[in-house]
Amino acid sequence: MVVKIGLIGIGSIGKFHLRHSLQLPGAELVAVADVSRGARKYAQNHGAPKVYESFKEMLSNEDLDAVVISLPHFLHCPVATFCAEAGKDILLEKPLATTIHEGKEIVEAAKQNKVKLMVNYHLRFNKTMNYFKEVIDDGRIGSIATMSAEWVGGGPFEHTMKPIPEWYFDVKKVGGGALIDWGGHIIDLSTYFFGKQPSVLYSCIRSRLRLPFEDEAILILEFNTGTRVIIHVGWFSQIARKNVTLWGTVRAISWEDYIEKTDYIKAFRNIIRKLRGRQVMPLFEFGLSHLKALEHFINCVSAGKEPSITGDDALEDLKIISKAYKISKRF
Amino acid sequence: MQNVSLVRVSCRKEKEIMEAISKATELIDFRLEQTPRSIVLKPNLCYYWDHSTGCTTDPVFIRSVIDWVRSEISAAADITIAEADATAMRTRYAFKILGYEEIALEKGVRLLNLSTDRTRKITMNRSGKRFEFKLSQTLEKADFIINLPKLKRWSPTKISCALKNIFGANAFVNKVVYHNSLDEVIADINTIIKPHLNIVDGIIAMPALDEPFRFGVIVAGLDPVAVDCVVARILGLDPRSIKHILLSAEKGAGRLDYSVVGESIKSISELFPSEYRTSNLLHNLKSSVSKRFMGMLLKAYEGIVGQLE
Repeated sequence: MVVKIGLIGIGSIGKFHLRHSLQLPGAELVAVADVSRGARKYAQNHGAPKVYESFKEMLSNEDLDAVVISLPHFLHCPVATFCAEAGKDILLEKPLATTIHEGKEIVEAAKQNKVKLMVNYHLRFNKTMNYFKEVIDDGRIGSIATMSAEWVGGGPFEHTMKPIPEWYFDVKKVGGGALIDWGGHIIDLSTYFFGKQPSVLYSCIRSRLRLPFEDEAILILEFNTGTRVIIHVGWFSQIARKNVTLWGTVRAISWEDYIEKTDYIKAFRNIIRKLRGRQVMPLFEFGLSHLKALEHFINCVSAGKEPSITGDDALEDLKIISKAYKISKRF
Repeated sequence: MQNVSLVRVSCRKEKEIMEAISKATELIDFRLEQTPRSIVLKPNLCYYWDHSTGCTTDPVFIRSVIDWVRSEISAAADITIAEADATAMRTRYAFKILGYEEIALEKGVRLLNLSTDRTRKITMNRSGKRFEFKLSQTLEKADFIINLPKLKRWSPTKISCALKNIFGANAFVNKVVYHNSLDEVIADINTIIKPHLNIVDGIIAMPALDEPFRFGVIVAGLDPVAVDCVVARILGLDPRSIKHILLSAEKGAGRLDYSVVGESIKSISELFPSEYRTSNLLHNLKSSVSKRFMGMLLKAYEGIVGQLE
């Protein structure tokens, strides 16, 4: 079955979904919706068959199986619940919502309307992270005493030729800062590796930017396996760097050691693929894991299976984030 | 010939910086015939990165300038710190994030986003090209403008200092439209907006691209072209190889000849570790070759495959 999809929101990540949904053999991109005229024009120029200003109009006019929602965080709840009530399976960008209350509303709406809900914590589809999962499960580096993860960069403050969207300066619309945004990825990765419901041993946040949300967070989680996870995320640095290290009782392994350099061979392979009319693969890990996540979602919709990251999983992640905010020391 | 002073400042403290500013302005024989009532300070807030990156004017330096103005120029003057929005930067957030709101409260000065001020449109024709600028009325009516740029390398124009900082005072937001004719536009704007005094924040400088360095230097001068010539020399560049400096001089925004007072250029430029000077040369060579080569490859790739991802 080819899954007919509609995209809601063509911002930075929405553009990835636009390209990928046109590439995936199991998907048929039917239409996109965005309130911005510029985004609609971009979508038209990049192969979107139809564009709408209103996602509601798109849902009522088009015969869609699923939607991909890439909107500002505060719009996740109203848009996702509307789509669930319209009976559409949903791939929702992270975080699930800005509050637990809204997160529950989305999950409930998906359950009541019997639609699939997947939240795009795409690191679960990263090749190295999948290898790490195998290593942890097989005990190849012993038992994992500690995992440390760092992800520090500019976040929304990365200097591009566009101003930062206004909603990013409003904590109610974002739901928080670096912790909910980048920290959410690492928290989800930790639960993927070590199981659910860790305790939050320590959390501290600060804002060097004098804004009402944190641009740096450090937290320590403890899992039932005994593994502790130390997370450091920040939006205060011009050049981004991220790493995950598993400290096993035999040895340690680090993501940085496995990151493939984007090389000319990959680019050359893509040119050959394109000339032969085959699917082009993203050159960078970031794009590739987004592509894999969308592919997984499409396959689940097509086969009638539950996605590997459900709304409940994302709600658990949101609860951990919320607890971290509650107990956090400000420094 | 314009005097340009070079003064060292040993630490990042208000009092010490203010003393260095006093010394730097005394060295250039700075005097006023009339006491100004309205004074505009124009820092360089090109983005939200703080002073530690070398990108933006240090708020401690601004505090010292305000103290110096109050003590040496006029205790009662209305002081406004003014900056304009840029393509990616919004001044109201920059004021908040970079600590300027706190300065305004503490020192009793006004913050002004030039892009939200009343403006006058100015059109200029240069070699068949038409440029439009927006000139803020506050800036136009100010009795005295103090230009407070950073001392830094910046690849599109080689250096970013006094002349480039005045380009940032153009109230028009989407400044990226000027970037194909940046040198000409910088020169043009400097014929319209003329600072009365330039004090360069070289406390943390950027001697190589994206490489901050604790430099501890203040440069002062009345003429922005002369100041930029000296800064270019400090950074190991020939001012005559920098197009916007030459054009600004040609258009009457200042003079290329200068006389250095205080520390010498040699003693100041030696403060930079030698690898910065070498790396600048190598970097320029490598980046211009690799940029062109990579640009060609990228174009070819995107032409065949599509957007790089």
